[in-house]
Amino acid sequence: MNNILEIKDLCKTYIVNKRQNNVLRNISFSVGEGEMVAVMGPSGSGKSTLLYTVSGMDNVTSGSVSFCGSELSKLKPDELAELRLNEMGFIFQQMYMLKNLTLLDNIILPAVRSEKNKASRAEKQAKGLELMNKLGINELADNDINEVSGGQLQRACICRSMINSPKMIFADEPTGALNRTSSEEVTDELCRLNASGTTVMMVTHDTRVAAKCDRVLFIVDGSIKEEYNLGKYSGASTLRDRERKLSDWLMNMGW
Amino acid sequence: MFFRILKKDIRRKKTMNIILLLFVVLSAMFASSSVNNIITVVGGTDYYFEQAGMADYYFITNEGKIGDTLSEKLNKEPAVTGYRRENTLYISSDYITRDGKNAFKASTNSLCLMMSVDDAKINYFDKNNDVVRTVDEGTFYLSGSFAESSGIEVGDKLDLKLGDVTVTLEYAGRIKDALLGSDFMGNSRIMMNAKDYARFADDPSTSGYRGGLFYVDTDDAKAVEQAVTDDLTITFDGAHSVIKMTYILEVITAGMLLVVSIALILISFVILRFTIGFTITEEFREIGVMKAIGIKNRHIRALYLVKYLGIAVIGAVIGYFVSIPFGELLLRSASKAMYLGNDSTVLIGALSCIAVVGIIMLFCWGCTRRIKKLSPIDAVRNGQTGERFRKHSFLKLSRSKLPATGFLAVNDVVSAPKQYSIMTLVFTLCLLLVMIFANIANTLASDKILFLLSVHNSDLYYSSKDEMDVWGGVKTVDELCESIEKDLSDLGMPANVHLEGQYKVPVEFGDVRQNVTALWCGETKCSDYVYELGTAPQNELEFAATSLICEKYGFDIGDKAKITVNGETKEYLLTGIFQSMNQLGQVIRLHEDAPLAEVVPGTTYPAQIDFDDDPDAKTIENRKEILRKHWDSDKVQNVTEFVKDSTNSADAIAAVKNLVLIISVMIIVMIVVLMERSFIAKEKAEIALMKALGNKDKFIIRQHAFRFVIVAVVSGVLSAVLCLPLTKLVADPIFAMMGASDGLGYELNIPEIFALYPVIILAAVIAGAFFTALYTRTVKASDAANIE
Repeated sequence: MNNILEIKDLCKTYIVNKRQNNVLRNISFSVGEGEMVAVMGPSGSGKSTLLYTVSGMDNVTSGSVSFCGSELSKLKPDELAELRLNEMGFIFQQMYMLKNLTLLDNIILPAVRSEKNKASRAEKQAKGLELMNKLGINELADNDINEVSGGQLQRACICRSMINSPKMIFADEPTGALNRTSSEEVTDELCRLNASGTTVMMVTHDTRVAAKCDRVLFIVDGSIKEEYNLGKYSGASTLRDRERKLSDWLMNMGW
Repeated sequence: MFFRILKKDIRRKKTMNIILLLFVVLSAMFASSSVNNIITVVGGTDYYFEQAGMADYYFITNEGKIGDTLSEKLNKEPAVTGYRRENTLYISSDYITRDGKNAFKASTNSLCLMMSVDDAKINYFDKNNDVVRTVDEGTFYLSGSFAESSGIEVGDKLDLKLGDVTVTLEYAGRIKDALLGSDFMGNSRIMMNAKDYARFADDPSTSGYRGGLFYVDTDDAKAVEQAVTDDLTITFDGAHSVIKMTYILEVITAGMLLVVSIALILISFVILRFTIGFTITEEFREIGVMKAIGIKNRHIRALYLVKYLGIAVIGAVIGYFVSIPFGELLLRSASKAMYLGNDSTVLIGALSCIAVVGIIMLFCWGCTRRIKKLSPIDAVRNGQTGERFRKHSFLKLSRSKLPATGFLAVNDVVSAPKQYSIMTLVFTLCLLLVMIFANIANTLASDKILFLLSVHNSDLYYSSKDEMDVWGGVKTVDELCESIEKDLSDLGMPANVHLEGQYKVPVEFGDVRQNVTALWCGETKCSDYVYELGTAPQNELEFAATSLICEKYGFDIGDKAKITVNGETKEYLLTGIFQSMNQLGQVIRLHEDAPLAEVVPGTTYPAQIDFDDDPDAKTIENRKEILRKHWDSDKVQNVTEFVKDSTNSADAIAAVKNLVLIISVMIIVMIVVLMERSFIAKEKAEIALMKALGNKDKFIIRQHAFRFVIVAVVSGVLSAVLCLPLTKLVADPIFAMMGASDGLGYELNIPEIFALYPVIILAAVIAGAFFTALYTRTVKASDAANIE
């Protein structure tokens, strides 16, 4: 399995009021193609910062981040933007969308913006509707974002992240603002995406969500303390067992 | 705690607060200077005339060799309670030279009246509004703007030649002359030392140029006017109101600036209202949190009111001090000609600024009422309570053919019509102000106004030095025209030359018998001129009149009036009504066969030259230059120059237009910066999200700038549509005051109005929006993680 993401000695430091705050310290790990990785850790440990630096949304202070062989720190802002648009997908905890657009328009906007995606606007619209159909929200295509529930909105965000068929999806607590049912639906959707070949890296606090991932990185005070390999998730029947094992491991980690 | 929150708010929203402060400064500045100027201008001429000690009725006589016949008539008239007379000598500006060359630039205002300061019967003021009581020997003062427009500076030595006398005098400055000070009067007064004046007056060769200026005190101006109807020496007579009207251009220019000021005050208030409302609406979270922790409505409201009161007070104080030089700048052109003032500038300025603070606080009070509506739920649910739910999306990207940038910008605009329509309104108003001024200035410099000057279109207009001889009876109109024609023929450019004369004729209808200026030219046909109603006079016993004359006499088309022409009184039939700015619209036109050929005109228009070979514009320009050299005079003008010179206001209006353009651009840029900063603050999360999704900085900057471009383009279209009707609405009353009572066709300079100004405004909008939108670069993609 080739690595899609390779991180070496990654450091991220913020200077606030002349005080240095080392948020990430010498982090090294890699993510293989088609892998589904969860990042867990206590609040303020640097999980989200890690996600945003490895996805090129934020600069690194030192170290290297290589995505599909490209060193992100060497790319210009516009090249990074191009990469995010065409090769990466993002899902945030807050299901934020442009309020002046319908759900469908929000979903197809990255496709319309993509120069790499040569399909016609009608084809892009059809793909958006197909994704919405897959996630069971196709009837909401023309709805405003304030006319749908949080779970429906998050599924729309997943559709948006998928519209340009990215190689990897980064998700920052995608179920953090959802109830249990909606959370399950969203996680299952991410698992389906992963099963179809899309690499997923997500930050989560939810062991039930993390239990569906292949691997869990546990981060404390800006360093990866340890990682736990759960292996490929093979179905709901194994979930309880995976969740228990993961919980035990997390307990040992001081979670 | 209260002040700590306030301090943090002021620091956190530094840019917004500074822009808000700037608008308060502008509002206070415009309000203070405008209110003061309104009071100054509205009572301006009355105040000036009072200070100058003017009378109720005025005569200017050209006595020549006849002598003073008017004094005797005035002495006999019981309606005259008293009168003052100033002696004068007429001198053509052609005979005032500097270093051997004509000192004055081309101007139809070619006649000056010389007088001695010791003979002054009214108060004349210098530039500091001090009464001029003495003039040093060897120096002179000049009224009107001719010295200034001809580049004559204090200390310049000019040679004045009258008859056989030539005296060299040094220019001492401009005097404010209540009777002749307006450029609209067409004559300028030269005030000199009694000894210098005597050098001219005592010489027999100047006796033909004598005249008088009469200041008559009366309670019955009509009776005075009728009593002197037959006096042949009168070249001008007018009541107090007529002289006041001559300052109309100064007052109009100042008045237009006041209109601009009022528009700017309104714009500032609209923006203030919007900004205050906008900032409060955007602070739903803070307000919700404050409510959630139990702070009462009135305390939250007080927080905002104190902040805005602070900004309003600071802004008003700064605005007050800035208003002083600004107010002077607005009235600069008017105050050069008039002694302007009001006695309570400081008080009025202060009251205006207090009013601005009051209005701002009223806005705040209104806007902060929204605080009551906001609840803690707003803070918890990102403002998405039921009340804030509304349809946002109007267009569909999936169905649109627009590129993404254009689509998002258009969609943003149509999704928030209120905030963009306010901007559209302001941009349109600014653009319209500039367009209206441009239309008026262009009209005043175009041949569209020619009919109002009561002349028709000719190839060239020439103010010959010999016109003085015609007015003095030394030469006839025909002789002058023939000599010019001969010159032209000798130069190989044969032409027909004619001269439009103005004659004082007594007109009687019913109880009214007064002297009226009759326009007459033996070489043109009455049918060559434009009539609003009826037809041109067909024979020598028919005449046409302006609607103002008809109103004055109470006659209408078909009525017969008794007119005395060349000593013979006959009944003349009124056949047509025309418009004229001449004599402020108080003129009649007599048929070309009327027996005026041998009568000495009171004054004449420049000689009108119509070349026989009907040359094109380029050839006319070449010939103009040749003739200027040949006659050593720059008083050979094409139609545009002639009109500009005659109305003498196109440049002043154009200067106002430029000032308005500059202020408009400043206002628009400030609005764009203010609004764009507001949008960026409001849409920070969306910007971060767009970046996180892979949209480049330039895409977001383009999207933001494009919204303003849409607004500017819509404003441009609206302004283009409204330009002409609003020009008519604003300018028709102004031209009506000048004599064009039925309006006129306006000169629309298409490239200037529909391309240049919209492009300037668009460029200002693009520059303002683009440079402010660069601030979106400070929003990082990773900020999407902190979306609230």
